[in-house]
Amino acid sequence: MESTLSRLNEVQYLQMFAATISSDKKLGEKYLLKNIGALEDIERKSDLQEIKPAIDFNLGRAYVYAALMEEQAHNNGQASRYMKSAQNLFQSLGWSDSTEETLKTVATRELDKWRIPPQTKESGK
Amino acid sequence: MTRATKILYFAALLIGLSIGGFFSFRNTTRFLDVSHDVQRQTAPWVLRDFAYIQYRNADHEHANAALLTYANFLEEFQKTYPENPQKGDLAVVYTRLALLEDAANNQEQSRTYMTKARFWYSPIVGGRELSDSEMKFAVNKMDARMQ
Repeated sequence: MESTLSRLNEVQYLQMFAATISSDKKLGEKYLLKNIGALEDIERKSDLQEIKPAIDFNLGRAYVYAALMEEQAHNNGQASRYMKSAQNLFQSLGWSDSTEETLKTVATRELDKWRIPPQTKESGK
Repeated sequence: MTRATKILYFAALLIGLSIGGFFSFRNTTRFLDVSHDVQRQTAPWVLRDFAYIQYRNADHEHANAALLTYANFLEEFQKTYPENPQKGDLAVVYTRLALLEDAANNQEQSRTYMTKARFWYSPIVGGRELSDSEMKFAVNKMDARMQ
């Protein structure tokens, strides 16, 4: 139980970090790829087979964040490579609809949770 | 500075450092305990979110596997940490498993899951038994709100 909890903690931390930095262009460019690397390491090393699909899901979602980020930077080739990696993972998780549109919707919904709303003059008072 | 003053200052320094060290250690340990407790509470959310998203988007086999993994994990968690009750979550997960079986027309398996769902749900409502359809209705309503 302790080893599962510890692995889940790592994934949770990386997932929250990925979602938070993805809402900021500069931070995203700097840290998102490192974050994906860390998730890939956990996925490769994972001795806990029962939580491997959950790790794959979080990795897939991080690929979609990276695709969105590259798309914004007009790096369309890299964006479609990330999207393809994400689609492969989501298909392996049994998703019948792993179209770009669906994956972007799922990722954006998560990103919106972590996005800090811009401060208006009224709220700053 | 006389010898006595030096000894007095040195003793004051030692006492100050010891007291400061003690309180600092106690505060740090308390912080680490709280941090560990919070992590233990929130770590299962990875599996909870994954199971729900799979339930909404994946095929029967994969959604079923994700929900069962979460249910087994919660039962184990409940045994290991009885001070952190997971009964409500377990009731919801088993109800979702039953709804999944309903969709696949496996009525017998659905009833088995609902028996488990009711087992975990009953204590929360203070003895009032809910029917299978009431529980399924509640979970469906909750899921519709989360959409």
